[in-house]
Amino acid sequence: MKKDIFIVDDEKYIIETFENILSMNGYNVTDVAFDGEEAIQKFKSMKERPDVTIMDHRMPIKNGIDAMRDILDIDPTAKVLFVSADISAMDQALKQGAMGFLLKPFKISDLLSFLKAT
Amino acid sequence: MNKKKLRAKEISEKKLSREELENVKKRLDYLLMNIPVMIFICEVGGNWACTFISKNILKQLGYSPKDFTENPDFWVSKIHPDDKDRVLSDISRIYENDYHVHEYRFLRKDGEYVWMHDESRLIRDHEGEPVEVVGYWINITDKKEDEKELHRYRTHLEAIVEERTADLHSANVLLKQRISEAMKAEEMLEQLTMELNDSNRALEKELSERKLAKEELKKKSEDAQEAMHRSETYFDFLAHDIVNLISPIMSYAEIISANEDVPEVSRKYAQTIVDQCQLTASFIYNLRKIAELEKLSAKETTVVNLRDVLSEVERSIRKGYPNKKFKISYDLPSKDPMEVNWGEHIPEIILAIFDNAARYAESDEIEIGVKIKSKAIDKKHCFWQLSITDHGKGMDDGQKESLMNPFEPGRRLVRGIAMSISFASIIIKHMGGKIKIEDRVSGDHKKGTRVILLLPKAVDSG
Repeated sequence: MKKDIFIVDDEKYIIETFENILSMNGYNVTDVAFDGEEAIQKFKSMKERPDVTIMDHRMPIKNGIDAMRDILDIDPTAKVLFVSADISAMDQALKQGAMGFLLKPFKISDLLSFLKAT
Repeated sequence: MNKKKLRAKEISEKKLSREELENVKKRLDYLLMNIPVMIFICEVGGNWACTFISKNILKQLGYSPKDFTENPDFWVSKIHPDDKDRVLSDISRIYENDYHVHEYRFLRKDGEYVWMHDESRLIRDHEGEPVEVVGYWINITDKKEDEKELHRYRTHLEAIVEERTADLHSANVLLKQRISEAMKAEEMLEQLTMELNDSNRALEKELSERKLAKEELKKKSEDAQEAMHRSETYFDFLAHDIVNLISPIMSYAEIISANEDVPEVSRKYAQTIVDQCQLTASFIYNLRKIAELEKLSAKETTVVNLRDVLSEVERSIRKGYPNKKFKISYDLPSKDPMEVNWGEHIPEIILAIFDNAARYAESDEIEIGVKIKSKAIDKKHCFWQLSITDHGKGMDDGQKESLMNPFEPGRRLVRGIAMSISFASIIIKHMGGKIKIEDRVSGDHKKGTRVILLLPKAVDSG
């Protein structure tokens, strides 16, 4: 069964890259959001929760850690994988409940390993 | 009136005048006996022998008038020996003015000398020849004693005055000296005040200049800080965006390199792109770390316990590589706490070493050994020695050297995306520690690596 992935990143080309990689590797990108606030609103309104949310950190309106906190408030079982260029956010993200943290640029095999493990 | 009556009258009058004379004599005798003044008459020249002296001589000096009148030398013989020559010499002056006054000591009958005031007048006859001397004598001993007392008192007063004058003189001299000193001091003070004023003015000028310079410096510092802040912000955005930009490049290159339908040479080029993207990202991340690090001194950093750090790192590495099996063993001293500064970086450094072991392991089973012991070079340099051993494919000596000195000309950054060991070495050196990489099995670099960190103990830590 294909896993559903929700992608949150403010860069369109990054989202497209994720979409390409994930579709090639049997994952289903159910939705995308371009900032933390949009991500929360979309997550809240989803009829079916994604298996994994791929989350960037540095985004307009609301950053990734704050967005993850709200998402976990909505659904404590939600799984959030951070993929970010902000190494300084790593500790905080993991402490706040992220299932993993991948630094950009990431190896596809590392991304797939994370997703496979969920 | 007839003769008989006249005669009777005459006789009666004579009788009356004799009685009156007698009465006068009695009154005179009474006076002479009771007044302190003695009257005398004496001869002119020679021993000035006394021919008459009033009866009160007895009361005043204890002698009888006969003592004087019957012995011509009596007067002279009773004059005090110290006065006698002066008295006899001076008395001849009476011939000049017919008058002479002198004072001398005279022996009283009871044996005591008394001071006598002697005032004499020379009586001459019709032809002007001296006949006799008449005069009066008065005891002035009390007056002399008073004079003597007065003299003593005066002498005493003079001595006091002299003493006081001397004191006053000394005081005056001292005062003059003090005034002179005070004036000199005042001059010096004036001079000092002038110098102080000059210095003050110079200081004020200097302060003003310094203030201006300080303000200028402050402004320049603020400008520099602002520029630095801008520069840091630009660098941060630049670094973030470059990593974001190369992220899809690396992903697509990786897809191409893994696609067996793509010609071999293209796949090889794609892999090169992947490697270069990794190196670029690694370089940028580590530059950001170093930029942050250089703003800090040890005192500004957080103290962490290595035991807690290792727990955290183990949790992170297991989470980071969920498909790999970790076998991590510890040999730690029982003594707690193993505290070090730089808590913001130590976990990343250790995580980088663990990550290195995991990333370049030749199998999915990763074996890591951690050993910590206390090491003191001297009293001021105490460290925690942390040895982390892996069983990976190891590094040759060139790689080890490159890791230790990443910025040396001719060296190249080698492997690692996040906190590479190269940059860990820079950070550890910055914090006053040391890093060393050696083969796990001495002489065989292919059997794994041992990274040894010497981390300065935090102040007051055991």
